[in-house]
Amino acid sequence: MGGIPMSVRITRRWFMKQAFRSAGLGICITGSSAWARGISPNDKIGIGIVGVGGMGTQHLRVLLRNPGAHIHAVCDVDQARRDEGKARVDDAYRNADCFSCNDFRDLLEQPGIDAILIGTPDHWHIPISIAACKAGKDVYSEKPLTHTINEGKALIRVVQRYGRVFQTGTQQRSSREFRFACGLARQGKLGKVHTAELHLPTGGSTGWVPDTDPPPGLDWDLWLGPAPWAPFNQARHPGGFRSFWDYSGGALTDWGAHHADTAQWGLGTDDTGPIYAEGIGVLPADGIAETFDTFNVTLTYANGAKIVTKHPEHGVRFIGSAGWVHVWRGGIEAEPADLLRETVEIDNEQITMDPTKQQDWRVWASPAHHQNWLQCIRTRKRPVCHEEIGHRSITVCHLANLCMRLGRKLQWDPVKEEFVGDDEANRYLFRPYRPPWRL
Amino acid sequence: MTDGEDKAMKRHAAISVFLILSFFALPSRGVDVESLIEPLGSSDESSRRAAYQALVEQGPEVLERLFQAMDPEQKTLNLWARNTAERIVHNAGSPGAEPQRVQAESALLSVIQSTYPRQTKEFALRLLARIGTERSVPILAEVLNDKIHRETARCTLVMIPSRKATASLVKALKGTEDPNWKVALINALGERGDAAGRSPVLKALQDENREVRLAAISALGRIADGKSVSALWKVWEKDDSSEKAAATDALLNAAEEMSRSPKKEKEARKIYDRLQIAERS
Repeated sequence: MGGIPMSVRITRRWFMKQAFRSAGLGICITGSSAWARGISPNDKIGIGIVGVGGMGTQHLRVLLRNPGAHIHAVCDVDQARRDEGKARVDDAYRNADCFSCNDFRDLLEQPGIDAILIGTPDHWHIPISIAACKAGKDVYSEKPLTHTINEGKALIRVVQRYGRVFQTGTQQRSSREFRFACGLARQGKLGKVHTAELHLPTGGSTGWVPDTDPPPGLDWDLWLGPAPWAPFNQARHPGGFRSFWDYSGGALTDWGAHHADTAQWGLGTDDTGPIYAEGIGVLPADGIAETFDTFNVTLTYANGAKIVTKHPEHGVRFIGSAGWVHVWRGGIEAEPADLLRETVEIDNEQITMDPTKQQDWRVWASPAHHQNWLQCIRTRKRPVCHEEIGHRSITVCHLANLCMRLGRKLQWDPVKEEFVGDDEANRYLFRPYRPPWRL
Repeated sequence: MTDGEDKAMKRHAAISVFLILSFFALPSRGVDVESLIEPLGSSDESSRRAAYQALVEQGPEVLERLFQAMDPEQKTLNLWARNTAERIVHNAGSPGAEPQRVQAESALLSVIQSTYPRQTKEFALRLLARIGTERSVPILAEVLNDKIHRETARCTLVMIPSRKATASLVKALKGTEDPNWKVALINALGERGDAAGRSPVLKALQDENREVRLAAISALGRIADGKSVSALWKVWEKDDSSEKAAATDALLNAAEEMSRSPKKEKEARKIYDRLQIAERS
């Protein structure tokens, strides 16, 4: 991977933080992070989108409608998708100006791009995020944020070192229902919360498909990127990559990324993680899928609270000594039902689901996930799903997958971010990238 | 019957019992394994899962037989033989399962040294990354000379906690002129962060290939000792903007690594101070 443009400067705040960590003493710094270009409220934020398949296209549509953003470039290793993405942008802006490219490194060099949105398969999220941060771009990365736990640690270092604004695509943080449910849990309205159930879909299986040559227009080597080389197979692309450990963690890191994030939020554990992970996963019965079909995992926190996975409903259920709340995309239930008439406070904001107490949703910190990101790019504040939150949330899913893969209960140290007394498990904290890529 | 005859009789009886038990136990194990392999490829899911469970219980001694069963043409059998082998290796990697780990490592090394199909050998190399020890290093070092399997062997060596693994990567780096392979090996030495790998990485700073030089800069930031930092400052002082920027990043990585050790905090502080002065100017 290339070097870092000299226009990118290390942030003053990062220097201060490291100096305090290093010496335990304050030091006098008079410099400033002058590299961060100020974007006035009237400026449009220049965006490049890397990966314009299923999710990337959804993001593209949302951003095309946003008056504060302008999409300058799209990138995809699949020419058909790339051309389709460019056509959408050009059609929306009624010109032919959208730059399109195969390699994200070319996109990062384009003028006018302040930020990039990553909608690639999972194994590419971190290499592209890190390269973008080093190139001075702010980043929105789809979930699951990381493929290994050490990727998350590396990302945090780079985002903070280069002072970037980073949003993870776990958009339930920007949902009214999820916010309310987490508020109930956090404010003790459910009594002592002892369990957060993650209701997840199963992984399913992928039928057997023979290896073939890659189709014309697909840069298969770049699609693989840091992952081990493998022959092209239609089960991997388009769309089936989540069935393979080299590119994903399966259903657990797919939907699990969203619901584990909600669970961490509601349990008040955004800056830590479980201390034990234990469970059983069932592998797909046939076909070529590798990741778990069904699973039953329990993750235990230091205070005794547990995250438990369930099939097949959707959403998150917080269960406490005085009641429960179950929230999913588009709905919320509680027992006792009166809990839904409460007004709760979370992250310094009051929220209610009571229709008689209308609230102006737009004034909240994150009325919409993309909007929160764009707003933070202007203000240089941290988005609601910044890099540390994204890393900690997906770590929950990695722990769940690992205890099933290894077939044993794992003890996790959330401070050191290492397994306790298990050398083999610690070997799963990272994986070497295929050259020339490196973390 | 004398005491001596009594003892001899008892000894004879004990030996007979042992031989009889051995006769039934050993062949029955063999028979059981063979009879379990076929159901692994069965169209009946419950038969497959039962065979999987029974084979997992047999432990590492059935690993080689499972690798023999990995026939890409027999898709279901191939999948379940792999699933079973992976579970056995993970069980062998459990804390306190040292005898099983040794046995599993031997079985995997045997597969790697034999004439199995490419995909099967690759799978064995990847499993070895999970449990391999210093004992695997000489064989993996040989595989570094094999263009088909060397990349997976490289990744496996990165995972093995032994200085000998570093030495094998160093030797491979010294012996190659291929810039792509140099980058791969330098990245591996960076991942290991072992000062024993520093010397050829320092030399790579002078390589004619830019990607090799950038890989070396990054690796030195992860090796993060005094000599690496000195070399990085020399790169940082040069006019090449991309190498200077890469050196800045590597120096900051080194400083972060050093600041974790009380003995190296002062060196870390020096890096921060000098970069801050440069930042202000």
